[in-house]
Amino acid sequence: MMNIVAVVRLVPDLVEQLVVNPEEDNLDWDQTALTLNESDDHALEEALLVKEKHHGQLTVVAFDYGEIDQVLYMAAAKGADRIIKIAWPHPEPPNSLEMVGALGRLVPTLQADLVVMGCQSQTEFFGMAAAQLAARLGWPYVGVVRGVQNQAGGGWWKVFKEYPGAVLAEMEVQLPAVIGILTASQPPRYVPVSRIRAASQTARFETIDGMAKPEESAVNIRRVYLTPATSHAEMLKGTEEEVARRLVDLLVERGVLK
Amino acid sequence: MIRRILVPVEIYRNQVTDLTREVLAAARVVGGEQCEVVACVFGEPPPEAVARLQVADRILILRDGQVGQPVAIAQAAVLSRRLAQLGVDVVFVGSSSWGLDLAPLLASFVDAPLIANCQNLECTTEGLRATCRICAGKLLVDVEIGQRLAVVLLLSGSYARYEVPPGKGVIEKCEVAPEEWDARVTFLRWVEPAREDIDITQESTLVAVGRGIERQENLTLAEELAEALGGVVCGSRPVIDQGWLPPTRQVGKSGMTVKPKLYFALGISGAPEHVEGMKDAELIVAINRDERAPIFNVAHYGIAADLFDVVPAIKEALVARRQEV
Repeated sequence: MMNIVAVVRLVPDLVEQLVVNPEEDNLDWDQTALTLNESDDHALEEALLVKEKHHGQLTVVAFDYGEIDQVLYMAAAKGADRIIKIAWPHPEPPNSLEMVGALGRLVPTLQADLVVMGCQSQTEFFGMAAAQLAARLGWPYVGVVRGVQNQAGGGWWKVFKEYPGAVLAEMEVQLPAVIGILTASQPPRYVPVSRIRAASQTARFETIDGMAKPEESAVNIRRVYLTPATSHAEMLKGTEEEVARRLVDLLVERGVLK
Repeated sequence: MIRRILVPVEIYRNQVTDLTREVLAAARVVGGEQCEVVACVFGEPPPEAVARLQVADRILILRDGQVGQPVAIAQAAVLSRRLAQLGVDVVFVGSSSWGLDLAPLLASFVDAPLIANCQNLECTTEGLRATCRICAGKLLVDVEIGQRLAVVLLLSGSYARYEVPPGKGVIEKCEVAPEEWDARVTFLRWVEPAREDIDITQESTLVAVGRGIERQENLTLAEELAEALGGVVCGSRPVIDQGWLPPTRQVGKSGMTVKPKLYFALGISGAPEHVEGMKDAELIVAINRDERAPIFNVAHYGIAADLFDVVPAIKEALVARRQEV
């Protein structure tokens, strides 16, 4: 049976305002709403598709911080067979190096054939966990992938890597491998709240202690700050009607209205 | 002080990418006159591709027998065995689909730190300073790294406008032994998108929707505005990923690069990956609830409001004007 591992992470919810801590060396995590990393959501969907098509077993792995249980209940409701939480007793989410360290210790114990995770998360700047996990494991890696397939059977899988202009590079990769997903073959499936609620009653999580350790990067953070506006749009203000009229006048002046 | 910067060259369909040329310019600017810039090409590049690398002092061609196939893991492994011998201090990689694989793998193989999402770099006596853009461009992080080998992923647009003088352009060729090549990943072919859809790069007016459109049924609002303006609807990645619009309508790094006369951005935050594909539009109008959204940094006119309130008003104003005329 094929063993698939999907890694999911929480990242800052960019719909909300970001707040930097007073020391200006990190986000203020107490004031930062977290959400599932978008490409991890797609990786989970791709893992579910592979599991369904090839009668595999899907293990979902996450670090235990924030409201990760809600994400994991959702994963269980969608069809994850096994859920593992890596204990993370620190106020800040783990950085890429810490993730790679812990996953590098955990994955070999899972007899995984295929590890999928988002090819990048919004907060990564001194590491990219998916590629670096592959290197740590000594496994092949392809990232920025839209969909994986096994048409011929056996240990070689087709992956479709995204390039500009909606062009895809069709590639083959030998398992075991880590695949960095950008987009799943189909949009992440909807799961009704009632099924998530039901999963919260029945799903069992395994929590693993001592797997994750703090790791320092050689990259020193000097300052974290909100992006200042270097140039800025002329902002139109007023009621909706006033703004709309003013904008139409401007479009006429600029000669862009047909 | 940085003595030598290596730039892996991305060749996409026999052409050196614009991003590679930008990264070479960045290496020249950041390294200064005393620094040697080495361009590293894989495979058997066509002469016209090599001719586009004259900004470099040295052009190292690694003949890998794979004719430049974009297999980043194999190329990273080949490079990793040569960095020490070449005396490279820093590797600059363009943040493309290929670069996003190559850079972290190479950094891991040589146990060097990786700095990703860089938009500015500065060489100091202590090492290298960089500014990284994360969280869809909403957050900047200034970082520094001491005097040690490092791999840097540079965002497109950071050094695009720099004009730099040519380097020495000395060409060296080097054979890659078959056993050096990681054969566990292979390139098969390029898959072109289905072209039954319209070509948004040819449209003069585009109405782009982002995550702020919230639901597929709300696309009607954008379509009505596009119709009133005589344009068509396109989108940023989250909308395409949901399957609400076909991939041929995606604007941005892995989608289309567009230069319309008018670009309306509805509910688009302005992530660097999206801005890369639309920043050269002649006139950009952005509507977003978040007045700090980075899209307002590239837009000419901005409206910080709920698009579901403003867009119907704009549509009405367009209709009213048409009736006046």
